[in-house]
Order: sequence, then structure tokens, then C-alpha cells
Amino acid sequence: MKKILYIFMAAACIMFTGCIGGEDIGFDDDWNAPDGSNAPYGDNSIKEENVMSIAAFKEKYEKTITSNGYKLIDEDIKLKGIVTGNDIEGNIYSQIFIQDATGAITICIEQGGLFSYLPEGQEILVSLKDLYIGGYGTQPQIGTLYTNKNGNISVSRMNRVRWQKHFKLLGMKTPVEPEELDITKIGTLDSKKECGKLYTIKNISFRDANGVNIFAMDPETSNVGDAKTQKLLGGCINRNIKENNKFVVRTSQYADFAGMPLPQGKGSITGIMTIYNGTWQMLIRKYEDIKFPENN
Amino acid sequence: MQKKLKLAVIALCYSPLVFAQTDNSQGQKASAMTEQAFTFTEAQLGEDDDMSQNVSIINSNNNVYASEVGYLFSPVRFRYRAFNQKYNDVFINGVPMNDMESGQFRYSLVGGLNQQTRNVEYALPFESNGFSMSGMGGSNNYNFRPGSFATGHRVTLSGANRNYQLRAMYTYNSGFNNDGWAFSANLTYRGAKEGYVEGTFYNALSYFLGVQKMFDGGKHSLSFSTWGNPTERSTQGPATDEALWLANDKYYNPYWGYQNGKKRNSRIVNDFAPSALLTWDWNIDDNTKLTTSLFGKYGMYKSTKLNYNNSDNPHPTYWKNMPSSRFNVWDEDDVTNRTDQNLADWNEQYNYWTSSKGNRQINWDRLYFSNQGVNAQGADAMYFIQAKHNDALTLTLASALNKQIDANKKWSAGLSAGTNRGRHYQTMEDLLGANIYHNINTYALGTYAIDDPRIQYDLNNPNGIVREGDKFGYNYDILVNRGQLWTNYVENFGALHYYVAAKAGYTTMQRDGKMRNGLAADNSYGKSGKAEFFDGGVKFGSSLNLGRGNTVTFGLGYELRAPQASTAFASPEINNDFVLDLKNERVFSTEVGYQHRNSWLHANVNAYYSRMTNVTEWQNFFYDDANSFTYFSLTGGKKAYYGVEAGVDIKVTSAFNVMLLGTISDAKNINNSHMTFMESKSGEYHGYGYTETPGNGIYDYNTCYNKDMRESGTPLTAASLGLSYHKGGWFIDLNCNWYDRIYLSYAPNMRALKTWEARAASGYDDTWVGDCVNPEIIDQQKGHGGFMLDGSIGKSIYLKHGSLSINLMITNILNNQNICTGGFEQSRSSWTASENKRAYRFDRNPNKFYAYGTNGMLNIAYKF
Repeated sequence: MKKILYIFMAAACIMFTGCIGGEDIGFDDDWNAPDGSNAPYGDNSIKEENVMSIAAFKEKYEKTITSNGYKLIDEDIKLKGIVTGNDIEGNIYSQIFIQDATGAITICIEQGGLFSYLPEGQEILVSLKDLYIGGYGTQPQIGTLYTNKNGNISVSRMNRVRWQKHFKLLGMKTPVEPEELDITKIGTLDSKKECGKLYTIKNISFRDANGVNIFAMDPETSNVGDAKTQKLLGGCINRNIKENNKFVVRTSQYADFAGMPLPQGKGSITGIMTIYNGTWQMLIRKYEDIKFPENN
Repeated sequence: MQKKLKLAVIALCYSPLVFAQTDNSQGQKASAMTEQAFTFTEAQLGEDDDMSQNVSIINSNNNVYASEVGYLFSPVRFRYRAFNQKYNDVFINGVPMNDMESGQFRYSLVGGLNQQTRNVEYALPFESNGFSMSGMGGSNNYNFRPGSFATGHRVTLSGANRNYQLRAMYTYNSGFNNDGWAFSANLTYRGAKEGYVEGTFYNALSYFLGVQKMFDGGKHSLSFSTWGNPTERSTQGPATDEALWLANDKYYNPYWGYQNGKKRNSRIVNDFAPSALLTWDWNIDDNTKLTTSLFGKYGMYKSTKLNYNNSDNPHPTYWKNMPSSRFNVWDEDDVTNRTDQNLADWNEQYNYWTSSKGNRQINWDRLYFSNQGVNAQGADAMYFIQAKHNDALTLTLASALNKQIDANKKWSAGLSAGTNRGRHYQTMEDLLGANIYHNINTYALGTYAIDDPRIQYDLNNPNGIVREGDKFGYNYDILVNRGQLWTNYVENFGALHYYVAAKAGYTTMQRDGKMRNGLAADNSYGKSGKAEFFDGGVKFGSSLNLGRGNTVTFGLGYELRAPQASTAFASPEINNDFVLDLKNERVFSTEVGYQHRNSWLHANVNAYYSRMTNVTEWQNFFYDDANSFTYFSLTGGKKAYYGVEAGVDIKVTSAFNVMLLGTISDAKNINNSHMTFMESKSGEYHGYGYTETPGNGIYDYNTCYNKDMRESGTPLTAASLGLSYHKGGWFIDLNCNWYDRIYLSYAPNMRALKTWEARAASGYDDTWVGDCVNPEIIDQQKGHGGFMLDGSIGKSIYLKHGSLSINLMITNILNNQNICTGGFEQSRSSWTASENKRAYRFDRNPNKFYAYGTNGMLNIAYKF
């Protein structure tokens, strides 16, 4: 019996002296959240100098934009704007839209999950030197160059590492209020000035809404509603409205709400108004931006 | 001496003849090497994080080759004959210990119990044993009876630079006292603040308590042992050669990152399987012995993982973080992916990777910051740590009768019955500062509407809120019952020694779903049908003593083997479906051998051939062309394993031995398997057995062109030259080992007609050669082999009280860091859904693990 006691004493000794304190590595079950006071995204050393208004910037590069060309920004220009559109529900993807008092612009970034640190209402300072400005269907875009299969060059999303060197998070502001527009007045919009801005378009009805047809799908694999008659354009489906043929609702097949039926009746939609060669394409940011009687 | 050496070399190189085995093909007791082998092994292996990383447990006294390789080649995770570990049977006191779902022995079950596992009886594939029909990959029966352990106290202290840095072990065995009692106890601690691989830690306690009582003058004995090995450790992630090059570290570990200045690993394994074993030995008479054991175990295995939602994969090795995802470094003609901008982007990411260590590790600060951002928007967690749980309650009863009929005949027979409930579920481990997560299938969201029931992981609790500790994603039990009968008959018939063995078994398996998955509302909650399998086999082994130390051996076996529950379900995380065409595996095996033994030479040569049909395999991974996470089943496979093994042990002087070992083998698929897969985004099946809907974009998946794919993660060619000097209490060993033909695990989806069509349509003009696929694009990826020099030096000192032994083992003395131990091909496509080439070539970037550079262990043991 004595021996057994001895065994256990020895055992206990080994246990208590032998254990390596692992707190520094992984034994913490309860890791304290970093305080986040120093934003871990972006470059906090960017200074708020040479800030240009978005309208002035677009004007400066108007020729490049309207000719769907591209140009290297080789001087120190900064934009300061509030995020209005991001990838929160996967419809806008690899892009954000920022807006200031004068206008709005697209920034193309090859990264997912942007909405987590670039939420609606986040004010950011963007340093444009060494990035490109260009037009895509006359919609101004900031990014880097992309050459497609056919050798055509356009401004497209910049790589994630580069993006982190070109912006600074300034803080949360009141989100931009969308401007309201009756669909019948859409012809009066100045596309150069207004493109990329947040709008609420009122009194529209979807041409193909029947309770079955959905916003977007891959027509090759889907059989839902009129899927087989749809065509993917850049991964998106354009849905017409009854009221105007120069306005479409453009939805990615990967949007979280792609599988939702088009709402019936008349209602309003909030989203980013982008221009594509004379057609207004509205990008819905999130499903709750759709205000139709049946959704309420 | 030179002449002897020369002879031996000639024998090894030229002899097409077959040396081999033994005049005594009985199970044997372990040689002194086992403990060392065990220590080496457990200190270096991942211990079944992914069980394919394990080695075989193999040993022999009769076969020079088999006696050494299990230990000698463990730094490269050598598997005996490249067999899956499920063919390597492990028993304790006659109770089968291989996991009832996967069929593989979990090394961690006996982790830290080095003294207890010294006591082992083992048998090569065609040797008989007293506890089973021997397995094709060898059989081992550990003896955990307290009365049979070496008596006394033993304290061992070890320092190492392997998975653990420190080990302290105390063992006490009383031996039988006058009243017939024997006690045993062991306590081991193993730990590392940081192991060989950066960002890994190790913390394991092992205990063993045993008591045995002899009754009736030794006629009966009851022994009870209980042990366990609570372990917490973190793991190393795989990486491509590009990542290893950028990190300038062959052991670069993408699983950790700095948080508040400390290294935090995202993958932590918690493993504890408290076990208890009651054994009754009944010596019915001098020649008859009955051993009956009841074993119970509750295994708790939890492995964490960083996951993400609505974002990109946050691991530093995510392909879009690699410089080569920006610029096609493989193909000069790919002008689209080799523009100035591409090159600038390559440089940008190269500089990012190489400028600071933090940049190539997980950026926890960003993950937390992002989650705080999504909180403010009322969205679900973007990044979180989830845990995969595999818990299992196992109960097994086994009984074996051994009877010595007369001096030349022996008969044994036994039965075992086991039941296993494996609980498989996923929990939320750490929300990383996020407030909330919902139990919905984010893969299916988008394919189906937000309010569609098909996106629900659990319709019984729709839109369930997931907080830390809650189950989500999947939750199911796998029930396996298995009963088996076996018998052996052994006879010496003049110069001939032979045995015959047979076994028969019955297995049932069933899934019991605990969530009603929206993709299988009527087929996921509650019990599945029950699959039943009757299996069995026969085996014959013989040796003929030709005199003058020459022996020839021959063995033959055939068995039907029930499929493993781990591969029997098509998509167990979602539904109750069994794999189509699930059948017993048919296994044929044979071996011939020759052995020569004299006063200075012990040589063996064996040649073996094994063939399996109806092989079922299962994997899951993300598949680009389906744009979905997928569950893949391969059925109807045929495999062949064959090779030659040789070993020569030359006693040059009484203290000095030279040993030569080698094997050349092959282990491969010899037909093309049927392939079926299910998409987790839609619940749809494709491939073999399912009628394809024309025009849905996915067809022609019936066949996986996996013919000639090799077994991965073990060298198929290996050789060793060993020198050992044992004299006056000194032990000096030096081994030079050569490893080659190490294959990586292949990606089955890359070997389908439909995949090749997509590849060709995306502009890869090298896809077809005439009407056939270009063989180069389906060639299996290989790892680099090479030389490794290992050595050990030890000294035993006898003291006034007890004895001391000191031993230093150094592996990979020359620090060869180029030996790949295994890895896997990436299952993703080097083209986009819109049929464009990606700059990144997944097919040229397999993930690899490399054998550790110079590593060692110093052991000091004091026995008293």
C-alpha cells in the first residue's frame, strides 16, 4: 500500500513540475480581441493632402473615361468619400463605390469580404498615385490594367496587396442618403455627373415578374422560371422594367438574393446607378433595398 | 571480413532468388528496439490528425527487413508495403483496437505509454499468431497485464526538438506479490512550448493504472487496466513549394499568426480517449489457455479550423495570395497572364510575402476588425474558428482459446464482438469577436432563395442561431457493429512448418442523423437503412527448412473485407445515403521468401503480391467546375501491391554488425474507378449511377481515370545501410537511408473526361494528343526523395542502486531538407468558370510536407 502511495506522490510531482507553461502559444482558450484602435487595414500613414473632389477628378480625366480608355495617375491626387456600395450580399463584387458631395466613383479591388472594413458610411481617403483611371462602358473606374483574351486592355480590379497601400480608414459617417428619382424622369439624369451615385428609383415594375422568375441564375444549369431564355453578361443577368428600356436591374448569379423571385407590382429600389454605354444599370446592394408591396 | 561484406553486397544486388522468413512463423516478443522505435515514431508523427500520415507498426525477429523498417524509415512515414493502415492490425490483450469506422489504429490511443507498449507479440502477414488471423499489413498484440511488465521503478527524462521538447516519464511495476497481486502505474508528460515546426505546441499527459490478481495458483488471473492520453496540440499546415520558397522555410506553417504579439495557431487538436480493459486469463490445463477481455473506450477528438463566410479564405496560402496567381510563371506563351501589370502584381505579392514574417501568417487583427465591422451591420460572422468533433464510444468483447495439441500441433480460435457509436458534429469554437452566426448552408445560398428551406442545415431548427459552443453544419452518428470468428491451426511436419487460418465476420453500419438538412429533408434526420456485410477469409503460411540455415517460405491468403464506415456513406454530412454499389472488398495476397541464417549472416528476401477489387474510397473538397464543395466516392476500384524486400545482417565481429535493407515496390490502381459526387450547394449527385440531365453543364463524370495512380505518402523505393556497434554497455548505430518514388495523393476530379473538356475549352492546347488525353496532365505528382543519415549513441551504466541508460538519437544528421514525406495535389482548376486560363496553375502546385531537418532526442532513464 505504501508503494502505491509512493507511486502517486511521484506521479503528482512529475505532473506539477513537468508541465510547460504554454500560455504564450496556444493554451489560451480565451484570446483577447485586439483592440483595433489602429486599423489593421489600409495605410494609416497616408496624409490628407492634395484632396480633389470626385467631380473635379472625373472632369480631369473625362476624355479617358468617355472614350473607355485608361490612364496612369502619375500625380499625387487623393479622393475622400463615403462608401455607399460594397459586396455585402455578393451582388456588387470586387468593387466599392464612394461618394462625396460632388459625385461618385467605382474602385475595383480584387478581394472578397470588403464590406467588413468598408461598410456603408465608412469614410476613406484614397491615394490614387500609380493607379489607373479608365472608363468601362463610360463608367469611371479606378484600378489597375487588365488584358483580356482578345488583347483588349481595360481598368479592372487591383490586387489586394496593392489596395492596402492606397487607402486609409477615416471613420464612420452618416451613410449617404440616396437621391430619389421617379423612373419617368430618368432621361434627365446627367450620366457623367450622376453615374455611380446612390439612388432610389421609384414606381418601377419588373417586366418578367410572375412570382416564379428570379433575379439571376446560371441559365446553363438552372431551370427556374425563364432561366433558359436569359443570358449571362459578365456573370450577371439584366432584368428589364416595364417603364423604361434605358434602365435595367443588374444582378450577379452569385448574389445572395439571386434566387429570390422578382417582386410583382410596383415599388422602389435603392442601389448604385451605374452607366453602361448609355443604359442605366442599377446594382442592388442588399435585398432590403427592394421596397415592393409584397416585401412589406 | 571484406570478403563477407562483398558477398553480402553481391547477395543483395544480384540475387533474384528469394530469401525470406522463418522456421518459426509464430508471433514473437519485441526486440529491444521497439521502445526506441516507438519513441522515434511518436515524436515525429502528426499522430493521426490525418491518419494517412501514420506509419505501420511492424516488427519481426525472423525477418531482418521487417524488424527494422518500421522504426528506421519512420522519419519519412514509411508504410509497410504501402498498405493503408487498416490492414495493419493492432490488438491489446487480444482485443482488436483498430478504429471501427476507419479501420485504422489511432496511435494516440497509446501515446506516452512507451513502457507498456514494449510488451508486444507480433506477426508478419503470413505468420500465425494466437490472437487473430494475421493482417495483410502485419499484426501486433500489446500485453497490458500488469504482472507481465518488467518490475521496478523507472524514471525517464528526455529532451528533444521534435513535436515535443520535453518528456518525463515515471513507471512503476510491482510484479506479483505473494498474494498474487500485481500493480502498475505510469505517468508521462510530453510538451513543447514550440515544437520543431513554428507555431506548434504540444501538451500531453499520459496515465496508466493497472492491477492484476492471480487466483487458484495461477489458474485464473484477472487484470484491469485503464489508461488515457489527454493531449492538446497544434498542427502544421500543408503548403506549396512556392510558399515554402517565399518563406524560406521547408517547415513553414500557414496555420498560425500573431495576435497581440503572441503566436496563435488556428488548428488545435484536443484528443482524449479514456480506455479500460478487463482481462480474464484461464489456464484450463497445461496446454490450454482461454483469454477473454472486455474493452471500453470513450474517445473525444476535436480539431479546430479557421473558416470564413461571405469573404475570401483568410489563410496566407490561399492561392490568390500567391505571387504566381498574378503572373503565369509556367507558360511563356500565356500572353494574357504575362503582361507588365501581371509582373508588377507578382512583384507586389512577392515583396509582401518576403518583407515580414507577419505578412505570411494569419492576420488575426484583421479578422477581428472585420468581425467587428460585420457586427455593426448586423451580419453573420465573417471569420470564425470551428471545431470538428469525432467522439466515439466503443465496447468490444474478445475471447481466444489457445491449445497446444501436442509438441507439433497447435490450435487457436476466438471471437470478438464490438459496437461503436461515432458521433460526428461541428461546433462553433470562437466567433473571433463576431456576435452571431446562423446555421445555414452558405454554399446553397444563391443557388436557392434566402427563404428556401433547402439552405437550412437543420430544418428542425431553422435559421438556428449559432454561438460559441453550439453545434452547426452537421451532426450525425455512425453506428457500427461487428462480430468476428477466427481460427488458426499450426503444425510442424518434419522440415515443414505450416499453418492455416480462417475468419468470418458480420458487420452492420448505419447513420443516425441529428439534423434535418434542407438538401435532404426526408433523408437526413434519424436513422438510415442498415447496411450488412458478411465477410471472411482464409490464409495459409508455410516454411520449409532446407537445412544449413536455409529456409523457404510461402504464403497465400484470400479474404472478403467489409467496406469501412468512413467510406460507406456518400455525403454523411448531409444525408443518409450509402455509396452506390457498396461491396465487400476482395483481397488476394501472396508471398514467397527465402532466408539464410548462420553464425555471421542473417539474410532475407521476400517477394509479395496483393490484389484488391471492389475498393471504395471517399474524399471531399471544393471543385471549381461544379462551383461547389463536393463529396466524391470512388467505387469498383482495383489495386495491386507488389514488390521485393531484402535484408542482410552481417555480424562482422561480436560487437559490430553491418545491415543492408531495401525494397522496391509498387502500389497502384490497376483500373479506372467509378466516380460519383454530390454537390453541397444543391444536394445533387453526378456521375456513376446517376442519370445526367443533358445541358446542366456537368456530365461525363462516370469514370475516374485513376489507373496507375500510386499509393501516396510513403516511399515505394527505400534502402538502408546500417552500422552498429554494441559493446561494454555502449550502443552506437549509424544508418544511411535512401528514399525514392514518393507519390502525392492525387485529385480524382482532375481525372475526369469532363474536366479535361473544360481544360481544353479554356485554351490549354496541350490537353489532347489525338483522341486521347495528354498523359502528362494526368501523371501523378511526386515528391523528392533522397538520403538521410541517422545515428544514435547510448550507454548503459550499472549503479549500486539500479541502472542508468543515456541515449542520444539524431535523425537526419546531414540536415537534408529536400525529402518530401507526402502531400496532395490541389483539386482546383487552373481555369475559370468562364473558360479563361488562370495565371495560377493548381496542377503544378501540389501541397507538400517535408521530412524534418536535423532533429534529435536525448533520453536519460534511471531504473531502480
